[in-house]
Amino acid sequence: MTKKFNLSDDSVVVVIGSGAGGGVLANELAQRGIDVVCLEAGRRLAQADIVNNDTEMFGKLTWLDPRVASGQAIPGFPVWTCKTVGGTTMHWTASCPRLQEHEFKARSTYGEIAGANLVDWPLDLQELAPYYSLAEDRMGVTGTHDIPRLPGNNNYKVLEAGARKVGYTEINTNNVAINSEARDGRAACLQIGFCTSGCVIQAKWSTLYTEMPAAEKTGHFELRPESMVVAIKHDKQGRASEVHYLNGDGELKKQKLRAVCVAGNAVETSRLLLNSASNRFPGGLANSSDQVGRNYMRHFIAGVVGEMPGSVNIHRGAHQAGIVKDESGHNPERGFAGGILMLTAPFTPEIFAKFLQPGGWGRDLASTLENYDHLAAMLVHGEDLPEMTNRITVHSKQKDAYGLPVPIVHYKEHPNTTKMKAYAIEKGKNVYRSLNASKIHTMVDVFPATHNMGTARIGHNAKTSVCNAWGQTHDISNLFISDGSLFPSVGCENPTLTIVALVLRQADYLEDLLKRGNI
Amino acid sequence: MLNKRIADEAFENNTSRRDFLALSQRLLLSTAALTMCPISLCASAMDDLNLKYLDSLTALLLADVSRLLFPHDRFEDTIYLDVVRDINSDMHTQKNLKTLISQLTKILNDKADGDWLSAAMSKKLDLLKTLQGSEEFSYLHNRTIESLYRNPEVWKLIGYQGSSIEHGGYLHRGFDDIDWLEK
Ligand SMILES: Cc1cc2nc3c(=O)[nH]c(=O)nc-3n(C[C@H](O)[C@H](O)[C@H](O)COP(=O)(O)OP(=O)(O)OC[C@H]3O[C@@H](n4cnc5c(N)ncnc54)[C@H](O)[C@@H]3O)c2cc1C
Ligand code: SF4
Repeated sequence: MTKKFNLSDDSVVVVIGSGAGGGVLANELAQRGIDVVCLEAGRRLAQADIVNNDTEMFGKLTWLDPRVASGQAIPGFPVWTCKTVGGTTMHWTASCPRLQEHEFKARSTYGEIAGANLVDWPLDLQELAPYYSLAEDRMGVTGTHDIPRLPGNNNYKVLEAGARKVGYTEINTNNVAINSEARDGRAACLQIGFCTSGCVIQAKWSTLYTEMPAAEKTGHFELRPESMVVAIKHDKQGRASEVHYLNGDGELKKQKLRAVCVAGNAVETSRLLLNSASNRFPGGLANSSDQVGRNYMRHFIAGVVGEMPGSVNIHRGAHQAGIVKDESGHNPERGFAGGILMLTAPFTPEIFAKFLQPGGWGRDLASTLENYDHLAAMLVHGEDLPEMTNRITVHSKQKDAYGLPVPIVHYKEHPNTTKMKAYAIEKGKNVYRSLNASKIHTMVDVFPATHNMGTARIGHNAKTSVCNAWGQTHDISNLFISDGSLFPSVGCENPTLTIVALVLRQADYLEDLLKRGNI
Repeated sequence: MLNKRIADEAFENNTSRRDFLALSQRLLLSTAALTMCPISLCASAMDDLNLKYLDSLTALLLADVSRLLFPHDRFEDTIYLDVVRDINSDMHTQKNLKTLISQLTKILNDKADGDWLSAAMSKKLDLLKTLQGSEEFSYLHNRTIESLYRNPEVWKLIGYQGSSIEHGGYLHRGFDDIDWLEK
């Protein structure tokens, strides 16, 4: 039963974005009987639209509206996210490790680091643990809730064998939100190998086919695809009162609301808050701290590629069902703060051709590409530190097709990250070296940011953070942030499980406020 | 407007036919040049191309450069001709590309004393290096990558198996069949 709400209905909670954060929050609220309108900029794809073709799916899924890069962000395409119902859970590879205890206490654990705006989280692992557990159950994360881990594919077996040789022990096929057996009405993974193109058989958790249909069944939920929110408006009391959006025909619509939750994925969330500036809030909504858009973090992500002595056929199977965690702790003796993960990751011939030696050509590169079936690859990524100057702003002149100022993504690497990255790449190379790889290549500083976090961080202090510990903005009591923007620090783990845990916790809090009539 | 387009097309078809004739003559005459050229196309292959925006000489030059950029000895020339075909399609949609391609052709020929195709391989490679970073080079570089490595023919040759859902994925088709790792 799909419900329709009136634009003038001011009892609804509006959720902006239908990805990991928005999709889960919207469904969770609807399950509790709260009326929700979800506004999503992208189209709703049918299952038949999903095919095993990376180029085609990139075109169908990706957010391609202009974004300006500054500093060390990748020119022209600083950030890789999706614009479609399901958000970036369509592209994602479903790797779901939890943050570690010490990563919630970055400032106390790492101490003062020059240039870094480090803080501890206003909550700890113990507090988030029950929500992690709920999130894992909901998403069907392998290695939790008695869900078996996936079997390892060839690329994993190479990683595992190499990692053992160099002495690592914390190696497994990862915790992934991919069904290892049929669960929740969805099939088990067939090792199809196109995880980033949307999973044809829905073995991989994506909100498009989990949260959205479940929410629609409640009768408390309306999804409006092709609805690009252009501004959040407030009343005289400074409370959010309606959102303005452009529908698929480019008409401006105004939806009244009781509360609004923004889950546009850090860059778009920041842009929306900044673009919603008013006389009362000249610096943008919820920005009295001047922290909106700041402390923008990603993980450095580098590829290490080995030309192995035998064939690997890297393209076969689930992308990130393979992890080494031995380097994930905080060990200052390595010369930097924070930890590192190594994860399996396949690439297509085209991606190798573009990124093994950016701009490169000639016989050596061609011979590596011709050796495609012998390539093994991993991604190493590690903790990034918050810095005031790494930030999302909006362009003073350039506008997109909606007439909105485009976002500028400014990012420069902290020296800690530079050291960590060099270390991680060396350790990654050792893994393939130990198995007598004939050549080892790296892909460094070539990937747009897939993990985007920290631009509206949570904290107890309204002067140094944007939201309280539940993601309610300090400035506007019925405005919530519901995505990775909330992270005060990022640990080294892929962010989505933590996003989902945080919004499930937010749902409890929001429901309570609504019930008590506090918003 | 439409009439003008039809006229333009007729003109372009004619010119490419004329160029093609000239080219086949040239190819017959200059077998020496042919052996130097990594692309050794036969005239019929050029004929099949039927390109709207590129004369055959330019097409041959572009195919030659794309092979120099990503040389795979096992690949037939037809695979590199697919790159040229894609350039031709790009020219249909990207208005400034005609200028860019004629610019590129001119630069390459000029640098090679008027005749790129007859230049020695080592000289060609040196000349290409001097072009790196230019808009013309970047276009051709990217185009070559996308045409070659998105081509299912190429995938077969290098062992990328592409779409797998129609075969039930790799669960029963070797996702974990690696056999050379020590036990
Ligand atoms: C290739 C790739 C692989 C990844 N793999 C992993 C992984 O293995 N593990 C992991 O944890 N994370 C992974 N990620 C990251 C993961 O996808 C994100 O962390 C997650 O999707 C973020 O959730 P979100 O809700 O914040 O944003 P999204 O999922 O991006 O959803 C945001 C939605 O909001 C919509 N939106 C934005 N602005 C507006 C607006 N103004 N009006 C209306 N709608 C709007 C967008 O269209 C989008 O649908 C990966 C990302 C990529 C690109
Ligand atoms: S490998 Fe598994 S999860 Fe990934 S696309 Fe295939 S079936 Fe889906």
